[in-house]
Amino acid sequence: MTQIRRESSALRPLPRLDALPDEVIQAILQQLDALTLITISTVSRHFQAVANEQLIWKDLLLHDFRFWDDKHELSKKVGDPSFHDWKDLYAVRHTANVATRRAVQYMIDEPVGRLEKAQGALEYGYGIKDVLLELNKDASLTDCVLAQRYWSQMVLACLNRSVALDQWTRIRYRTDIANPTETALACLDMFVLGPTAEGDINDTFRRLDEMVDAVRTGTPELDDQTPRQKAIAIAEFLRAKKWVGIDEDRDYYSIENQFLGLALRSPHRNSLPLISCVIYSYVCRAFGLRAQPCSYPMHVHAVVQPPLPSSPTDPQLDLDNRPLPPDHSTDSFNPDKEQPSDLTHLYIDPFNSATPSTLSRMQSQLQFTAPNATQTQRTTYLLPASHRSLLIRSAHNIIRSVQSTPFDAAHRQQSSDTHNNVDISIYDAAYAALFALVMFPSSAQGLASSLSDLRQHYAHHYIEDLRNYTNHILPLTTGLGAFGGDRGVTDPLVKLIRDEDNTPKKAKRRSELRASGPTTNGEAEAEESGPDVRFRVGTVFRHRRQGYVAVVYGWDGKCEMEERWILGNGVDRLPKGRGQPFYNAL
Amino acid sequence: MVGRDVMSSRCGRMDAMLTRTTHSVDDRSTRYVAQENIVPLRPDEFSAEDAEKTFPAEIGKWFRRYDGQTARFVSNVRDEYPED
Repeated sequence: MTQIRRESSALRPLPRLDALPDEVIQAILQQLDALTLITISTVSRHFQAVANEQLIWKDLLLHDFRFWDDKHELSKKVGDPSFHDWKDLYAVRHTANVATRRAVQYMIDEPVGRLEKAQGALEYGYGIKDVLLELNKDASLTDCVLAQRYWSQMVLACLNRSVALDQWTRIRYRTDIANPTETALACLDMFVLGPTAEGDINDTFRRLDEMVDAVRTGTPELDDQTPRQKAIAIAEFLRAKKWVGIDEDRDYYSIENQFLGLALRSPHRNSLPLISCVIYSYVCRAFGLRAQPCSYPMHVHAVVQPPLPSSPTDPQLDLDNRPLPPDHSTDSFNPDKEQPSDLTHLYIDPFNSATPSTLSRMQSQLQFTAPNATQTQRTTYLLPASHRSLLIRSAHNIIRSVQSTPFDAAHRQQSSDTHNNVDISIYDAAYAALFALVMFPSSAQGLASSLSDLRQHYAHHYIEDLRNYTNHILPLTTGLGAFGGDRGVTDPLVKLIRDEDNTPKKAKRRSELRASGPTTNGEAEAEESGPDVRFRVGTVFRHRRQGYVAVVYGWDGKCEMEERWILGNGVDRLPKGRGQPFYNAL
Repeated sequence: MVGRDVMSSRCGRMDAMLTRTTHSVDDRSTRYVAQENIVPLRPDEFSAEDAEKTFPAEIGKWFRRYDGQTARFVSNVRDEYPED
């Protein structure tokens, strides 16, 4: 498409072009890009009228912009024939792009005030993802490839997280969200996406729906089957395709298997029981069943139930499409009183098998897996779990994975999985889990502890999350003592981070250091007595004894680490000890 | 031993991830190395491809690009280190 546009924009205006019928001119203009279209509209009134044709702008808009913020309500506008402001909308998107490009360029060039600029760009919403991905991709064409990649990715990561936080906030306060479990888990992926167009919440649902289509095509007889038959057939299909479960050679707690979106888009589609159950339940629901993971201890199962009757006066059917006996205690319209029953509750562990477990078997196993649970708890384990409890469980799984990631892998900072071709930072994964646990706390104590961890992550690794933090976390902390930020009161941590960003760094000059020297009497000898910082920022070096390659990004005239670090690392045993220059290296 | 990563204990990973024991601002895969342990690489020892492969994206925080001629990264922290 771009190719065609480029060629046609090079066309010289043909004589009598404006003599062509409007439809033909319009068809020609449709091949142009926005800039050329605007240029041509200045040629004549006639062209202006045709070039302002809203449908041209609509096509252009949908072609040029892939990502849309919810605030634009794009799908509503697309379906609304009376909407005529496509050109204006294009202008809105274009303005946001220009502002975002400027913000990233500012962050590359200016050391002071970067946070502020980033927050400004983020205000435009999810739409700027298009331009951020472009900046990241085109970085290699510039003379600041590393900086452009870094700063555009930073804003992008922040933007992705803001989408997740917005969704979680919606789920917290509203009960009318469709597919809350899948949405809540897809939000976790937004923290570990990286600079890719794939894997966001919409993409995750698109892939789930593709799976549903595949099941429909692969098992055409499904619609005529009983709920029990459907549940088994779907599990068999997904297992045969290896779309649920895990390959035998894969590490169970490997972090890649913890994310719904990753499980769906990685070629091997490995997933933990919880994720497998979420996928399976979603597909079951698409075929009219009620299905949801249940919080069975140790190993999440999916609980499948027959659909509710279309009206309360119709009889509730069981898993085999027979009416329930009149004395059956299940009160499907009153979930609070719901009791699991063999007639209406089928337990499937799609991670391990397509063969359902009976209620009685599930109950008897609870005696071993949860011997101390109360009767109420045991009942809860066997009923559909809330999206909230599944998100919490998922977050705990992620934290456990992070903790069990081998140190070597963490050391390389990436938990790199060449097998699945994905790279996730364990920090990003942990950050996702902590945010989830703060947004959906299981107890006041748990909240205080997760919040404290989250603040540490924010302060040390994610200061760019200024807006995310103040918008989503501060309001939750009201009245929480030490971390409590009452509305309107500035959190001292936020203030510190803001101030640091707005304060120029103190310049360090090797020449001054050299001249100053350790002697304080200020005599002539001071001239050459200071530390001789020999290597400059940017120097690539090999460590003399440990052999690794690193790059210098900063230095001190002498070792400025705390005493504990100096003693612990035996600095004084070095021939030149702690008094020599020390370098920050990456 | 100098230059070992500051977060080297395996137990208490969350704590290790969170606690910053260095005065430096960035501590993920960073080290603090004595001058006597630094052996600069020559351009023929470190190609542009090596530069691309060796370092994580974080490197863009301090540098604009890699200059293969001098085997050095071009600083983007001139404000803090004006003479470097």
